[in-house]
Amino acid sequence: MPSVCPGCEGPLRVKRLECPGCGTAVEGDFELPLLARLSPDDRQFILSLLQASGSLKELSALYGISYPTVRNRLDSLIARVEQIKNKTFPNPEERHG
Amino acid sequence: MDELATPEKLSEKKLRLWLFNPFHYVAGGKALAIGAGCIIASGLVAALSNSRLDGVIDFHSGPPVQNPAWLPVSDGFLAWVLMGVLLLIGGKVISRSRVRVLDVFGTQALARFPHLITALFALIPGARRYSQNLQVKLLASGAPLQAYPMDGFLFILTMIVAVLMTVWMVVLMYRAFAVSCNVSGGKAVGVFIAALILGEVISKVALIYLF
Repeated sequence: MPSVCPGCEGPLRVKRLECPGCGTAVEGDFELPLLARLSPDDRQFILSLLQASGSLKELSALYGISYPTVRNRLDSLIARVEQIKNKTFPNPEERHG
Repeated sequence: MDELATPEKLSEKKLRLWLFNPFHYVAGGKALAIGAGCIIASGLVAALSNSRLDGVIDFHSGPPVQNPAWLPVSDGFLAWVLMGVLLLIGGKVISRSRVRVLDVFGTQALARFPHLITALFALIPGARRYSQNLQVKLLASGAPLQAYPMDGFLFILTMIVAVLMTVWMVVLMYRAFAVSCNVSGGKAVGVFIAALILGEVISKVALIYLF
């Protein structure tokens, strides 16, 4: 799922959600959850870490890379999450004035 | 993006990583075991050509006087410990990540691998003969140097290999520092250069007093 606008690289927002069973649609202006705003690679990394019970050692064996490489990747991810959390996502109406 | 890269490009990237940043794959205890083995092997091979590893990046072919084997082995260990300690301190100061002692020392030990190749080249008889002639005749007595042209060629070849291996080792030492302490940019380069210069000075002084 894309999380940034291909045109201006701004954060995308959800306008409509639909139930595939009955066709009910919910429309509004929803912010994407933090995890959804990460890149697919980052999401996969988090998932793998979860499956490895949070063990960086196990993850390094799984990826075939060294422990500090995995830890550095995690540190970059933490920095990225902090960056996203601190970013303000202006409402489209506010943005367009 | 890796997923869009061709298999050739991926294997090229992997090869480049193994050559210039093997710490992407190997660190910690494994790197320490391989690295310590390389330091011992480099020292023992260097002893066969009477060479010394006297300094954090130095390799000097020796005079025709037999050194005990433990001397170049100790040189290597001293250089490794010095750089490990200095980069550990530097890393702890500038890194925001948790720095593991085992990673710093393990990767620094593995980074010394190119010295083994230099030591092996220094074993070539022609190059040794030329180097010893150079030291004994030309430098000591000023007498003109008489040597086989092939010896001169082998000597130059060994010198070129030694310079290339030293450059490779410095690159590996920096990459080891960057990976084990999660540092990059100007600050990391500055700390590394400072550690290298300080390490060189301390090792030279230490060698005078220790051995």
